[in-house]
Amino acid sequence: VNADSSRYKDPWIAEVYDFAYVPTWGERDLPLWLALAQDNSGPVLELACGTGRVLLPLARAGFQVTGLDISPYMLAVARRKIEKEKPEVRSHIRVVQGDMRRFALEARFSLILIPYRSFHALLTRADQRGCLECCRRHLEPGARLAINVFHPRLSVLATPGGVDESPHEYPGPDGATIRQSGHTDYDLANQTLVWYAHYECIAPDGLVELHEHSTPLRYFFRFEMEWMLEACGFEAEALYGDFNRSAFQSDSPEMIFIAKRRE
Amino acid sequence: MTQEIGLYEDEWSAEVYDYHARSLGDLPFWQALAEESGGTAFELGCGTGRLLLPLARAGLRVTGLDLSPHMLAVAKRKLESEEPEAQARVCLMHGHMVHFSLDERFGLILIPSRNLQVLLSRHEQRACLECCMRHLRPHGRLAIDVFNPRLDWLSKPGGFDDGPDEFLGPDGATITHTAHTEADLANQTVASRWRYESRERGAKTAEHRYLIRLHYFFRFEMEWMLEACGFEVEALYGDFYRSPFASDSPETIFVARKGGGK
Repeated sequence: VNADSSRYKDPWIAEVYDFAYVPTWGERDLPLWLALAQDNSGPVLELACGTGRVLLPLARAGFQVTGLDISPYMLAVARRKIEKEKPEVRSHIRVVQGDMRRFALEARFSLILIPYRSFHALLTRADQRGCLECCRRHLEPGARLAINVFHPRLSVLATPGGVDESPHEYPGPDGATIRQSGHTDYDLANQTLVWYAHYECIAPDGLVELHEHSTPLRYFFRFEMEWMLEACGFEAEALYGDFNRSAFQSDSPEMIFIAKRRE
Repeated sequence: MTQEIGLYEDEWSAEVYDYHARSLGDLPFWQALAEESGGTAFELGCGTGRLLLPLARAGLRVTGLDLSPHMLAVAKRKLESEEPEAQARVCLMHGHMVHFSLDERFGLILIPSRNLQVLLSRHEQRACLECCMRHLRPHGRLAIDVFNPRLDWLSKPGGFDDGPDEFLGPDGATITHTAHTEADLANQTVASRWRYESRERGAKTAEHRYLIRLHYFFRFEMEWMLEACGFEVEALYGDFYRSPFASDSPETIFVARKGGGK
């Protein structure tokens, strides 16, 4: 157990990701990403594609997609899943290992997606700027960037001592049961949270394997995102508070920015 | 019920300001910054001269801009009772912080007392910072004080109350101030309803109500805004003693610099 290890560095998390997070988050964001891909016909790039949760449905719908991820373990799972797809779907997908703060691909895209809070992994303004500048370089003139971050709940951020994640169980790979619990601490001055997650993976024979991660994430506020996009050569075109494109409100769960490359 | 208007849009609130204003303890901070920066200091939202006059007394040349003619009238009256040398160092201007145009270029522009927070939209904030940029000398500095938002207050259902606090007004009446504030989290604004009740010999003699809308800023929002408007952040403090910014800091104070090229 390494106390300051991010979850992205553990091969085990890649193997359980589709069991641990895909069922709870579900497919709530897929219709929006599909609709955006439809509106911006042309190749799509997804940053932090992970195990292909978004990438595969986009490819199945006929879009040319490229997925970038820093974790070779997540990409290994994604590749395994891609191999099971039909040849024409497989021919639409490319996955690349790389860092979203500094990547250089030959291709240019008409849409870049940063779904499911991956942007929160960018802890410093230099990281955020690096990512947005890379995005700008990889977009066609006038093309779009879509970012989903969570909308911070001020009452949660202000909870003294942080917030506990109550223990819950779900089925894991190979017949195992996973018991997960956690705790989140907030650093208001630096707009950062640290998410401690504790997993007990109980194999069918009763053997228990422990995994612990401590993942720092940056949280963002609305106008901060708007200034950041502007400073990095984008113009915020729309801000939604959920995946049904509802107007952003005080109690919106999400912030979804659709930004256009400024010329 | 009395009509609710904006603060300092009437004579009464301007006349009462100096009697009600809590000492923010910020004068030494601004004075040191003005002395380091050289040249004339330019204050946006100078009001009744709370900072401007002591800075002039300390030997600094200062220009103050304010939107409220009532606040400027108080400032002018106070200025007339200063020593002639101090008077000669002060220039007062009526104008809006989102579009002003002066011939002079300054070594320091200060936006103290949370004055930037009256600008509710990014459009207005950008216009103000662009005006500042044009009025700074090469490498000149812009210093901004906003409050560090208290998340526990902002997230209180139904808003939060301030006061009652009591003080003696200009005509000797006892004035009680209370406020109720509600936050709009989606738009990062607070709306404060202020109520002043004046009493003489125990009997209520007057009531004045004001509505104040402020934008609250988060730390990195300010950093990106300054960068987007062409400034380089030089320092961030959490109070007027130049303490590092911390989660429980009362203030968010930025000192930013104009690049040499612009």
